[in-house]
Amino acid sequence: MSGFLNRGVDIRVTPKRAGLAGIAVVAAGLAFGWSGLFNISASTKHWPVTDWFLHWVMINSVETWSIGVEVPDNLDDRALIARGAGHYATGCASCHGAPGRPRSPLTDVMSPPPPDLDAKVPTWETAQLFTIVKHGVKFSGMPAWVSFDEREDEVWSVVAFLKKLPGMTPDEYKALAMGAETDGAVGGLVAIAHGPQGRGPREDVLADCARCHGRDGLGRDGDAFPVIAGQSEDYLFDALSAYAVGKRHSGIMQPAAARLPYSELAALAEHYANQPAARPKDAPTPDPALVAAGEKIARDGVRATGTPACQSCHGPSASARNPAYPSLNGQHASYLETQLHLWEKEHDSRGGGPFREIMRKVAFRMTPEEIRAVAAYYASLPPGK
Amino acid sequence: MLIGAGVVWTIVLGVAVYATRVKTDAHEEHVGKRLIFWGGVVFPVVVLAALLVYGLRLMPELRQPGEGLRIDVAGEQFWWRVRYRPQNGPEVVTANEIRMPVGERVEFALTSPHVIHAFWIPTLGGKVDMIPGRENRLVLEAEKPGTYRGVCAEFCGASHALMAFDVVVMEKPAFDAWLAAQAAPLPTATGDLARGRDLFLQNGCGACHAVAGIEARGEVGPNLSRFGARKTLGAGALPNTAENVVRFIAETDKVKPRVTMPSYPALPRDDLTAIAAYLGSLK
Repeated sequence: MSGFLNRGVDIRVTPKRAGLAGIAVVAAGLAFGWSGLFNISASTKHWPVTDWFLHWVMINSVETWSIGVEVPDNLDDRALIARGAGHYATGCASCHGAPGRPRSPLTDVMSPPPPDLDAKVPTWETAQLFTIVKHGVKFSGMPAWVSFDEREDEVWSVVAFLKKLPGMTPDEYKALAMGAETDGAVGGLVAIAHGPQGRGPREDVLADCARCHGRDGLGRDGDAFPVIAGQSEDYLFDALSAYAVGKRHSGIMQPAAARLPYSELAALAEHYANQPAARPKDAPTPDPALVAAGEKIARDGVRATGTPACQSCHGPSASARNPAYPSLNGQHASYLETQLHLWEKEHDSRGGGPFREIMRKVAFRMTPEEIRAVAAYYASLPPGK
Repeated sequence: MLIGAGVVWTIVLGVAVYATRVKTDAHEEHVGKRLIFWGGVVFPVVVLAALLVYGLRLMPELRQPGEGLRIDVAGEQFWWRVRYRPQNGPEVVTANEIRMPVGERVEFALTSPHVIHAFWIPTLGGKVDMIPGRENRLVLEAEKPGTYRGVCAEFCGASHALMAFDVVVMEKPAFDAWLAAQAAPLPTATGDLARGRDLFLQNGCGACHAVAGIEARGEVGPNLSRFGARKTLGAGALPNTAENVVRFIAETDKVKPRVTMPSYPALPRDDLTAIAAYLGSLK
């Protein structure tokens, strides 16, 4: 003590003192947290410096974690954009708004508020948008993609849409996100209040599905959405149920199916199974060079890769098949390819209904060439069971 | 040869007993050297050289082609694809069981499409590797009728230990009759068995499994044309009973880990039983 008095400030840092100081800081922090004095309410906005710091960290993080993301070259594909738009209307627009559709006042009192995408999207690179949509952002309201590990293809559809979003007119948005339906169809929310209406799916539930799949089950915008018209009812119900509980992985279909009771899923399966199968008007034509090779695989399988003949389960065949197995006749080649590739990893990356184990064992052994050929073959067949 | 081995064994043990019990003190140096020269160098060289010459003279006989019947066996994961090629008469494809006539040199052509297996019927002969991209030959002659067990003798994956087969050695006339019967058409299933057959087809089993006479032509998995006559199921994984067939189809992966065949837990018990009954009827 005498040294302190004699020579001004002279506190010697010893290990013991440093340790005690550290404990004191931690104790003070815990005491502050315990006291409840920190105000976590969203109504009190961040200080500007906090706001700057959090965003600075977030931007740096997104930049770093999007290193190595490979951007696909089909982001201008209308079908991909339409698929992303269909999901954007239910999954994103309620917070971020959409062209001609103002955001909910709720978002003004969020902290941080969801950004206006018209202004923000151009500030990000494509790979960075992908990282944000796929993984979400901690300490904000931005969720990660449902099934982010399995369905990067779906994440890209939203990114493709986002790239077109700045400057998009309300009419363009309507065509992309609503198809032939109106804005009232989004989410089928009206329906929930109205209760069951009897046989068939509720009008507003069907309208929500129809934004993408059409009421006729033929989809729209080329091969943006699979043909579900005339599909086996058992298969459609199994697929919807599997989506609803996350056994079939999709960030688009899982939220859509999970908000409906099983009775509605059954009614939807029945509705779409009863629609006449047909080839959508603007469906792309499968590559004729691949059809013959695909037919051979579908008929005979491939011994070398252990690929069984597809048609034993999926037809076409004159005799009856297990109705839980989907018919593939006239399905879009791009959809079939995507589904087969989802099985490439041997783990249950595609998921599905109670019979998914069969395809899990079969599909992961197929080569990309076999997949393309088989998809082209089934796409070339006339639709129907 | 057994007598010779007995004599050598007796001499060695006799010398050991003599050295440890009878004459325990040291030999003179020149006696010891002479013992090592004659007993440790000359004797083994002469005996082993004679055995080598004898053994080498037997080798060409082993390499001689068989006497008619040829059987192609491919090691799959984890089962055996078997094809009989008789000199006269049609080929017969089956799986996981081999029948051969007694007293005849049968030639096996051994292959593998994926990984190395080894074909081994311990009672009948040595093991021979089945190597992808190669065809190895083995000639076996069974001396006595009976049922022997064959196994995979090279680790080939998770279910290597569940990759076995029965070898049924039959009298020549019985074997010829059996082989001829294999090529004959199967009786058409009726009644409950017809339901089992229809379920077999509707659920797509024919994509991988062939059954003669119906629209099931798959070659990915074992041929099931005469499945009911086999003693075991799943390449020796289980005894071939209807109950075990149901279990094998419903939880294939649990019975045989990492097997290629998918499990069918979603099939109703009733349907599984019908399919099992149908398969059991295929004899």
